[in-house]
Amino acid sequence: MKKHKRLEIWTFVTIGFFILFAIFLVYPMYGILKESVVTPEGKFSLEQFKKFFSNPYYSQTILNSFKVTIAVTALTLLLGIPFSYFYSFYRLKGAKILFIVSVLCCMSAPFIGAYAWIMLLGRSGVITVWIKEHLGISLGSIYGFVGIMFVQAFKLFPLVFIYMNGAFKNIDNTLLEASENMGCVGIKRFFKVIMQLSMPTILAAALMVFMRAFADFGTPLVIGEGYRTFPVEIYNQYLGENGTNHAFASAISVIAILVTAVVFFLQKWATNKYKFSMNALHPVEKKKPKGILGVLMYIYTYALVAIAFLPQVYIVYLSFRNCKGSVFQEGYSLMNYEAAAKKLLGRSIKNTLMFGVVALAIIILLSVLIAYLVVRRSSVANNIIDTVSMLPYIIPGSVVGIALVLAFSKKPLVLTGTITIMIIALVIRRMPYTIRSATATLMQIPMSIEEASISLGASKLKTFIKITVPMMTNGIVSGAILSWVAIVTELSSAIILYNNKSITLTMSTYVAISRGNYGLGAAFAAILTVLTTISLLVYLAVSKSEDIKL
Amino acid sequence: MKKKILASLLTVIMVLSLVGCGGKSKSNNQDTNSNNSNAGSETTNDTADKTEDLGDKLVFYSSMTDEDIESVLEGFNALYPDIEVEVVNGSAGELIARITAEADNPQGDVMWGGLPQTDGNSYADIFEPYISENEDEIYEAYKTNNGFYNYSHLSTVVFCVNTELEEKAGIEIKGYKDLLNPALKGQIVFSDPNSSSAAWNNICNIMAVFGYNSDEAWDYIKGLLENGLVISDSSSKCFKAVADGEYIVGLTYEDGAAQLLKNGAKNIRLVYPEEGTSATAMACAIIKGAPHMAAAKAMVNYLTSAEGQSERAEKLGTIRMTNSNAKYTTKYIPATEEIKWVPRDVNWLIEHKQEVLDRWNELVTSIN
Repeated sequence: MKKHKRLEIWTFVTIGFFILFAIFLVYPMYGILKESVVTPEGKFSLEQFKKFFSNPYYSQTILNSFKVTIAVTALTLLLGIPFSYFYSFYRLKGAKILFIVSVLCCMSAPFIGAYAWIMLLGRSGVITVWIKEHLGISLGSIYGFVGIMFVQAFKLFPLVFIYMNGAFKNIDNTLLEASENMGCVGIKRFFKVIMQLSMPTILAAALMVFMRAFADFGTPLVIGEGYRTFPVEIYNQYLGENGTNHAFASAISVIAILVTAVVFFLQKWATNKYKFSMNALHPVEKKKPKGILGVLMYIYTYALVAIAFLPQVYIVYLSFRNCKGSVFQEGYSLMNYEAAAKKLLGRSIKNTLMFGVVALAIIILLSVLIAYLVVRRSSVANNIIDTVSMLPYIIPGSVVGIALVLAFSKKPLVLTGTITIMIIALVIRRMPYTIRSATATLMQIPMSIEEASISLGASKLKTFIKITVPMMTNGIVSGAILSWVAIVTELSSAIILYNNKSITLTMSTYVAISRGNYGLGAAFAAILTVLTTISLLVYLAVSKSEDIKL
Repeated sequence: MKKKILASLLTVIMVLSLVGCGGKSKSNNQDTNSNNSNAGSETTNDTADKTEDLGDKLVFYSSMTDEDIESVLEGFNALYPDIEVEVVNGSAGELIARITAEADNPQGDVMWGGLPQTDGNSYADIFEPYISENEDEIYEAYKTNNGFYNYSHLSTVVFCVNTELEEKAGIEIKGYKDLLNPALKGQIVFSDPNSSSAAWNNICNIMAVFGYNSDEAWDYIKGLLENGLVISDSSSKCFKAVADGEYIVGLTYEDGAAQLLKNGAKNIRLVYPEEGTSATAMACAIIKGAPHMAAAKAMVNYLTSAEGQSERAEKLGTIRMTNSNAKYTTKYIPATEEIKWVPRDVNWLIEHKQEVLDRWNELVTSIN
């Protein structure tokens, strides 16, 4: 009898998801992708794909994207894992600041971060010139492959950091003590025990970074200088000024989706090899950093965060400089902020916050449900849901935006120009973060705990709500921060979907910069940074998972 | 039983809330539709009557800079104070994509900027056929060539040169042949003609100067590419990044670079190639099915009128106009008479655009 009831609820949820995804994901994407294989006359044809692969001008873009993204992923893991290790296993002074600042690093609006780096490290950049004059060293160019790698890595390593924090928190101290008893300490223990235990999360973080870097077009657009990557190509084919070819763009999107699907399944397969469970009955106790290693630790963590945060600091500085159009003048004033107030500043702030909260609430609800379906009720149907929910992540935001407009500008569901469609786009695009971390966390929670609860008389649903979900909190929370971060900096789909009613801070920044108003753009970006900092502080105060007494 | 109810309730609430919001926007559309029928059923006789019948709103899609848009709005609102103009910014490509996607339920009325003569009939299905009432005052070369573009200003090909870096390199840039100087290797910035109308404008001029599809033209382009021409992905880089000192020279358009001078940039100068330059005219167009059609027509008429253009050009001082009766001074750019112009065969360019772009793409891939 109970078994029957159990199946009913979760099957119901599965069906619910299928319907939801069918309407809001599959249908819009189908509209766009259909264009890639159907000629204007209505016949099936693969000529767009032929065009892509036969012309190195185009096929080179996927290769380039791949190369730079793998490099970025490797670099972020290299930077982020040690950072997280020092943060989680040692009591660093000012750790809360490190946390806040590193999250802020990945929250900057895409265009403006790259542009700030150019102003700092470009050929005539502030730092470049200073180093040349005082140290006589010529820094290499920040453009091209190296530039993209550098800027993206410093923007995305906080993703790895946050994911790994969640994982390290869940490591049982008794395991570490046991390994110490057997003579395995220090670096050896790090690689043999700690890394192996946190593999699911490392792989999840790597996938997130890969997807995000692969589909990023803001950075290569500004700093690529001829190093052509595929998101820029899709963007150009869809939104270029010069005779766009939507069918061709659809074809490139399809190829990109296939590439990501392959990467995704590789990651899934690799993660499955690390199926084990662990509970943090004895969470790791943080040690005090000592001696030379301690000093090095402090240098590493603070230097990393300082470099990554530099562009945002510079932007705040620029927001106070006098500026006319795109030329910065002498002197300081609040003129940029005054101009911002005239340009829908209040509404931008209100919208940014409201969209963020609503979208995040929906995302958390859906992610927890999906994680449960995938891990505990694994079946073909649920695996399909898992894969489908990850797809929007790789499809460039502008394509998602266009797909939504096309699908919902006709009756019976007319949503264009509304706030709803913006929120839908945000939920679709940003759910994957939370799903991945919720899934990875749930995998670490042993079935035995749930079984114990059920044998004590609690129903499956009650167990889920009162036992499983609280245990997943660490994972959910770290994923929720990342979703919030991504929501607040959403740009590429908003470009298509926004109007003056639903404008956000990031959109205001973009509009200001692209219309040549650098001072205004800097002001909006600075306000965004302040808003983000406040929301992070509120979040830390409210959530109990981040230890405040560090 | 309770849990089933809870789960189904949750799902129903989720779906309802979305439909509810959708419903709201439906009623919004009905409002704008009724406005549309009001605005559509008037005649354009007196200016006084016009203001009443034009409705109270205009949705203006534009890729122009803030300064451009502000100068237009000032003049437009002086004539029609009751029309509230809502501006939606974006690049020309983004706006076209938006208009195309909104085709079943148009939200915008007028698009201005980024619509060059060489578009030909490409966008006939998203724009409303309408020729402004000032068409006979427009210069012959810039009259509408497709029945829905109304050309309001010119975009002239120009080099933006960083004077400090130019001096350091010990050269003086006067024209196209100077760009082949190895001292400029990797220091010339351009954008992608596949996606940027400014870059395409430059290619059109090279064709006009050296000969359409001639060997000289393609040899020159090859030479540029071999001299490390940088193809950035944003056309505004071609003057902004030059002013920032990232490059010595950029191939760009006149009013972009001139606005920098106007805003106080002291380290750049405009160079009109001594071999000759030309301009494309840029248009405004009414979006098909515009919700505020009468106001849209008023805007197009304003943008093409002699008074409107004189006002705007005078305020900006960085741009040339299309109405032969427009009177203005050009504070930041040289007078039309001081420049060497070459004629442009727009029809040839429309016909052979894809061919030229394909050959450009081939060259770019073969040299990199």
